[in-house]
Formats: sequence, structure tokens, C-alpha cells
Amino acid sequence: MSDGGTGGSLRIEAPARVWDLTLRKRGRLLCGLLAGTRIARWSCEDGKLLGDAAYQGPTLTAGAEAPEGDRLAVGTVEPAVRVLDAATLAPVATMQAPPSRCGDLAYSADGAMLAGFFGRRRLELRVWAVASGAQIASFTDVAQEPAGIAFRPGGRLAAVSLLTGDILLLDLGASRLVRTLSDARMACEGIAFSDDGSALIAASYDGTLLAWDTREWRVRRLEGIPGTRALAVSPDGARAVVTRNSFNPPDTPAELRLVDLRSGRTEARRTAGIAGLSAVAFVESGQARVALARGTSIELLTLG
Amino acid sequence: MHLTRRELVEAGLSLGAALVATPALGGAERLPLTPENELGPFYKRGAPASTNLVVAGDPGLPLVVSGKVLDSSGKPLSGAVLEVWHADSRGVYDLEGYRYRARLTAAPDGTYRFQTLMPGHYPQRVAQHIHYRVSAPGRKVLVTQLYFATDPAFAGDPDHNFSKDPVLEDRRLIRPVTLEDGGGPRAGVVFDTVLGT
Repeated sequence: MSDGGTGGSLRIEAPARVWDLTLRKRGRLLCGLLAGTRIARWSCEDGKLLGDAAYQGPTLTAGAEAPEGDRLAVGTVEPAVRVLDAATLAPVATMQAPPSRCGDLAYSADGAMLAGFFGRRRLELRVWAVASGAQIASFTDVAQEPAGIAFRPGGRLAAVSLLTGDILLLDLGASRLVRTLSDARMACEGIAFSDDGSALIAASYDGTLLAWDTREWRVRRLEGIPGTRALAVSPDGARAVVTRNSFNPPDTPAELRLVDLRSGRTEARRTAGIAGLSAVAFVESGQARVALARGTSIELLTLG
Repeated sequence: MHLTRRELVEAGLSLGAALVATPALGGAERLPLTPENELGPFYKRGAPASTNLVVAGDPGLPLVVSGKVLDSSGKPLSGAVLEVWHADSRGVYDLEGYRYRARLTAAPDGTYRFQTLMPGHYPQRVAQHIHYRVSAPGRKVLVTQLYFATDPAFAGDPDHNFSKDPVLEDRRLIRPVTLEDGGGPRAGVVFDTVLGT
């Protein structure tokens, strides 16, 4: 595959197998959940390890780093979601949760809200205000399974993608379904609003990148990557970066693509090595940063 | 297509595998609902209406899956829609197209039947499987998966080994496999589905 607009790479060796990765602080901070329930943080500028601490508690089933990288929310099989200091893992707050396994956690872009999915083979969503710890919304549909969530900046609208491909638009103020978007043919694990809330972007597993304007909810279909696992939208809403991990089949090289959302043109693309995990973000310069992991090896790349 | 004895063994099949009868459906007997199983990430809406999923030239053991769609009283659910999808014999799902994906409609007597190739082992799962999403008016949508008693993952003992696949929570979803050898080997599986309200 031809490369274009790709930058150099930085390699990091994690102290234990990487279970999950996220990029925070506009791509300047890399956070990893490691085997042994260790939480490690690195600078993306030079790959320096900033911290490595082990969580003391029940086995984690979900974790999410706050956008500024200062807080870490963790879920277990206990009916509670705990917010920790990301550097020391000292407890900061505890949110009451349903008595079922926490499957996923996600912060809103401004860090003000935290969402959690609970149980198996059902959509059971709870949303808390981070500052107070109070639950502000709940939504349950036992016939659906979630794939991802995005918060619309500046409001109380959330988009929840389902394994069926549908995307539910939820009014968090009223815990009410506002609209169902049925444009995606497959599940959209990667889903995000633009910073100004004017666009919702979702990457369907079938390789279609869907872009809705949030006034009329008209959709445009752009070319993405089949099997996309991670998606980020640039602050100006003009570009998206998507990644495909090595799966289906597992010897497929990871793939990265930077897409102009206005024209649909692919600005840059490249394949990488075998990677089981990926995380994406846009950095201040406008470039896209991608983190790929396999085992204990992490590679940081830039696109654009 | 001709498979050697070795290929049959590798496919997890043996001649003369027993076919276990499906439940009797008479009277007002209440049938147990088909256990639910995960939808998984590879469901794709808009699959074509077809009873033949075989992709010409693809390797794999021909497989015929048949069964009925019923309510818990045994009444056939005529017109029920079955969406089925699975990995190819290499264990790879088609994401961009609709290979090994189809939409079927149950006949007036509730029966359905389709031809395909035996799914391979998807690397992130233990057992071979076919996904089902079955819907009928007034009934709860059934999302489940069909498994094969001859799957090497069960090492010949599905009763004890079904839990090797953490997604497979109910032994009843594993169905016996028959093998016919007329004009080339062909596997057959019967999978009745019972929908609740």
C-alpha cells in the first residue's frame, strides 16, 4: 500500500503485556492498562515512562482515562464505578452502579460526564456527572447490545452505537431516546462528535465512514477501513483518523487512514505491523497520532 | 468436491455421526425457548435473500442446515425471517460484502433450509459457529448461534467441553452433525428455533 503524509515512529516497551491503550491530552499522553492490573502512562513526545502503578482491588473489567489524563475511572463486577487519581491510583470518588459486570466506560470530551455500560447482551447505560458523582441519566434496552458511545459537546446528547449498526441518540437530561440512526450496515465501534457538535462521525465495520450533520441528520458515506476499531475527529471537524487492528484474519497488518471529511479524500494511509490494539488522537499541530500495541510493544506513529 | 479421510477428520466429522431427534411438537406441550447467544460484532444488515451461501471455488465441507421456526406451543411461525452469517472455512468474516450471509424466510410450515460450507474457527473464538437472528411478528427477536457436536474444540465430548468456548453458555446450542457420502461428502445439521414473546 502506498504511504503518503506519514511521519516517523517511536517505539515503547511496556513493563507488562498491554491490555488497553488510550491517547489523552490531545495526543500528548499515552495511557495503558497492563497485565497485572497495572496502569502505565508515557509521554508521547519522547516515550518516557511517567508512571506505573498497580491497582489494588477486584479484577478490572473496564477502564477509561479522563481527557486531561488526571483521572482514571475503573469498573469491576462490583456495583460501583471508582474514579482514581491517574498517577497514584488513590480513590477520588465512587459512583453507585448496577449489580452487574461493567463492560465499558467512557468520558465526555470535556471530562464532565462519565458513561458506563453494564451487563451482557443488553444495553444498560448509566451516566454520571463527574464533579458531583451523581447519576444524571440511565437508559436500558434488554434487546440491544452497545458497541460505543459519544457525547455531543456542549449539550446533553449522547450517541450510542449498537451491534446491529443502529445508533441511538439519547437525551441525557430526560433519559429519553430522541432518534435512531439506521444508516450504518454494521456496528460502529468508533464514534465521535466534532468539537463544535455539528457533525457525528462513525466508522462502520463494513469500511464505511458515516458523517451526519447534527441539524438535519443527513448522512454522507465516505471510504474508511473495514474492521475499524478506533476513530478520532480533528478539533475543526474537517478530518478523521481511523485504524484497523490485526484481526479477521489475525495476520493482517494494522492499517491507518486519514480522511478529509469534506471531500471524502484519503489524505494519508499506511499499513503497520501486526497490532492487536490501537488508539488515535489529533495533536495540536493538526497531525493524527496513532498508538499500536502488540504484546508489550507499543509503536507511536503520526499521519498527516 | 472430494475430501480425503484425513480432511474429514480435520474437519471434525465422522461418518455415521448420530442425528438426535428434534423435540416432539404435539399437543399443548410447551417447548423450551432456544437459548440466546451473543450477536457478536459482525452482524450486517441487508443480507441478500438466498438459500445458497456457497461461494464457488471456496474450499470447505458442504453443509446443509435445516430446521423449523416455532413458538413455544410448537406452532410453526410462517414467514419468520432468519438472518444467518458465519466465517468462511479459514475463519474469516466478510465485512465489505455479503459472503456467507443470507436472509431466509420460513415456509408456511415453519421450515427453513440453506446450503453453505462448514465455518472455520474464527481465531478469537474457540468453537465453529453460525450466527442467527430470527424475527417474527409479535415475537421477541431471537439472537443465537448454532454450534457443531463434531467440532474438534469439543474433543468428542460436547457435554463436558462446551464451556471451553466462553461465549457458549448453553450446551443445547450444540447440534449433532450427520455426514452423507453420496457424490462427495456433505454434512447436515438440524436446528429448530423456538421464539418467545
